[in-house]
Amino acid sequence: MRFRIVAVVATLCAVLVAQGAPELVIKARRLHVGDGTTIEGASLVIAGGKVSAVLGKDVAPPSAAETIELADAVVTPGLVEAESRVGMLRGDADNEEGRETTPWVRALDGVDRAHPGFASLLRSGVTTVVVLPGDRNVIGGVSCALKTTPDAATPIVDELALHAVIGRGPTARNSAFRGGEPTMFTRRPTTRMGVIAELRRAFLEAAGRNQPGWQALYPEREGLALARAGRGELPVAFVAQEAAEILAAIRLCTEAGIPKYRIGGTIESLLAVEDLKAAKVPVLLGPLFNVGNAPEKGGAISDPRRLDQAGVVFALSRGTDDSGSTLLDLARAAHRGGLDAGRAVAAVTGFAARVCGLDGRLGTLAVGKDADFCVWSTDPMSPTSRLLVAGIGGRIVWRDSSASAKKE
Amino acid sequence: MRIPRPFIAFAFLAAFVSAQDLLVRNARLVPVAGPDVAKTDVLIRDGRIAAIGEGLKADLSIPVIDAAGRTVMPAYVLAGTTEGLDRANENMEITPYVSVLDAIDPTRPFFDDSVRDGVYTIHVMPGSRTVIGGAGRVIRPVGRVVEDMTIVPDPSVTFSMVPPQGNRATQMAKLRGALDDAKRYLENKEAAADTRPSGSVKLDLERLAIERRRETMARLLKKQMTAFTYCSEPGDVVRALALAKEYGYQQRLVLGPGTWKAVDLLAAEKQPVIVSPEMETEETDPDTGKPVRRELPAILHAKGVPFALTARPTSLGQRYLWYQAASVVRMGVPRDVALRAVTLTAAESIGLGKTKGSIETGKDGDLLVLSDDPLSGRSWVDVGVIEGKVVYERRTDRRMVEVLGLGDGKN
Repeated sequence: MRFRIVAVVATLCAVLVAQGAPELVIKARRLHVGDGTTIEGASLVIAGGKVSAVLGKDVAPPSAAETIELADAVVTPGLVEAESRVGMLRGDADNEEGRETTPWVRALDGVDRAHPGFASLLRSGVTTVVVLPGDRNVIGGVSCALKTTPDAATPIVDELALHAVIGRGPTARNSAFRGGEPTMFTRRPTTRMGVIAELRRAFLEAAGRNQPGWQALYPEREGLALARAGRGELPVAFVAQEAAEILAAIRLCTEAGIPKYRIGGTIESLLAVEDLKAAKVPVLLGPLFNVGNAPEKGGAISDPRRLDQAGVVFALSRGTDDSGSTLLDLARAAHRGGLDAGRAVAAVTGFAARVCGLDGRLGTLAVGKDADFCVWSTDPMSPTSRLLVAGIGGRIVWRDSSASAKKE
Repeated sequence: MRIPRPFIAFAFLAAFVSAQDLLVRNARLVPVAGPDVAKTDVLIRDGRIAAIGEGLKADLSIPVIDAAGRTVMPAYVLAGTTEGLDRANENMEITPYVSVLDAIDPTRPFFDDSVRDGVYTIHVMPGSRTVIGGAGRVIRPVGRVVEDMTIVPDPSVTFSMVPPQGNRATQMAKLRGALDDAKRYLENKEAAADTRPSGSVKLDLERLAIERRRETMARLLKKQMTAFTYCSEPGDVVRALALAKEYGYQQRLVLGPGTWKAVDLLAAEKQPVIVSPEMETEETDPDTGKPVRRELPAILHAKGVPFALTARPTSLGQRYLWYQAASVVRMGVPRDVALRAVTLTAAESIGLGKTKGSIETGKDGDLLVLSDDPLSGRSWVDVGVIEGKVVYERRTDRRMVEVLGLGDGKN
């Protein structure tokens, strides 16, 4: 009898250990949770590919299959790149030209998951990336989210958001040949108001489709994605740079009753801050250049601090900027512009996941979230900081050659 | 209302007047030439650094900046850029007769930003999409016209080993052709100097016209100018070194990251090199197919090659020299070497090692009062000084105060 009890208890323990035994413990000088807070002297405990505990400095971490303890190391969640065209083959980064609105096109179908761009994102600390269809169509298609796992990126959400562009993107190169009269071959729209009119048509139709008895004028495949957007099942992700375009996006969604949307690529969000606050729209700030021909307008590095103070939900994204800055550089610039270090890290991790609607699963180092993490040689807000280790789903996927020597 | 940009700069710059006196007190000093000093004063007299030390005494007439809690370092030196020009290159390939003198536009935002960012010695050159690009100029970002801005009038001529069209062989042939022409011209000119004037007005005019076009190359061969030669591949370095030796001209190499394989050759030269803003390259290992990162500054440092860093104004981070220096620290280069690369070594690479790039007695009083350590990533230029004269103050910078809300020093 006693033997049987011991056996049961032993079995129970074995089961518990198998489920809960941490596979990895990382001891850090500081841990950025990714929600704006930091913990000094923390240990990150990972089990089953998830964060199983974050322990303060007075709690001894459990023993694990591997323990990483690097002098001065600072841990953050893996970075989340909210707007990218990585892996899109030449041509696929453009748009389907059949129509101005192509909501049935999926970015995922144009992505080369083995593209070296994913590896180079991973080396800059990005573990999750949202890939958008092109900017040449008014509605370009549906974006997807992938993790930057080595060898081939892993899709985690096939259809993340409907990608719509307000502004000059879709009008580019649409003017008539050599300044002549527009003909039936001239691609439209050619103005910003034309772009918005096209969006309004699409959205109002989508709203109509959700009414009983509505006859679709347009192909089923277009209508379906739009109808899902109208029901809030597929958020709409706008690209709107200027204040006027931001306001147009808010107006359109109010008119058509689009319940879930966000605005990205903005460089004038500060001018529309009251409207963004009132509409409770999350914002992705554009590439924070403070140079250019119109510096009074161009996304200034103090914008994140001022949006944060105003209570607007925001995140930073590199967008299609390929001038050599990394996503972390944006956070560093925001920090230099006065944003608190913890919130600057959050702007490229937890906040970015929230703006993209991925926050249920990743973006912070909270218990139960995917164990996507980065270990930096010193606080990542310092421009001298180097990525030492990166992990996705609890598995170490990248290690700096200088870090492996010091591995315990 | 938008005030035209030039006026923003000129409001506090006026014309660049003669040198002045200044005393900076209680600063944490990063002199670059030696170890950091926790607290000291720096005295500038007649535009030159006159004394460094604690508790310096100076006349009451000398303006004082209290830099307590702030860092003082030499102004940054940009060893090569094509910014400030309307266009970087002529569409012809061999244009040694053009000069950036005629292309620098003092109203460009680049100069405003350089004043704000503390880059007070700038070597502007024609671009590298060329064979021979023309004459460069070392300037300060302050002045109404180029003449006011000039520090060194014709220090350099741009060469490129990278063909804008054709292949490397044609590029070499074109370079040799131009150098041979210059050599012949110089020989003829010297021979002509020994003979009497032709007496024919037409002939003399022809000769004069030809001289104007050819003088840059002649001065290069007479070692009065230095070729700044752009190389993107290791083979370019080999050819550039051989060519300079063959024709006997002075040369500085401007290196793309792909030249890292030529590092042993560079080490033997014992000359400072200039690293282009793109400092690292990714190569695919032919055996494993895995990408390998090559960081040129780290490789140069390991072999003891002194290097200067440059900036790329279209990038969020790379537009700042402090950011470039911090990136090099991230690559494993010691902090003092990284700081020298944007100050003293940069000055040495353009022949100004004796006057610019460090805070030492006798050098020009070009210094910055920074809100924080230059590599902290949070540092702003609070006060900028050129030859003892205050050219920039953050609290009066309209862009920092009104546009960015960063003028109060509390952010």
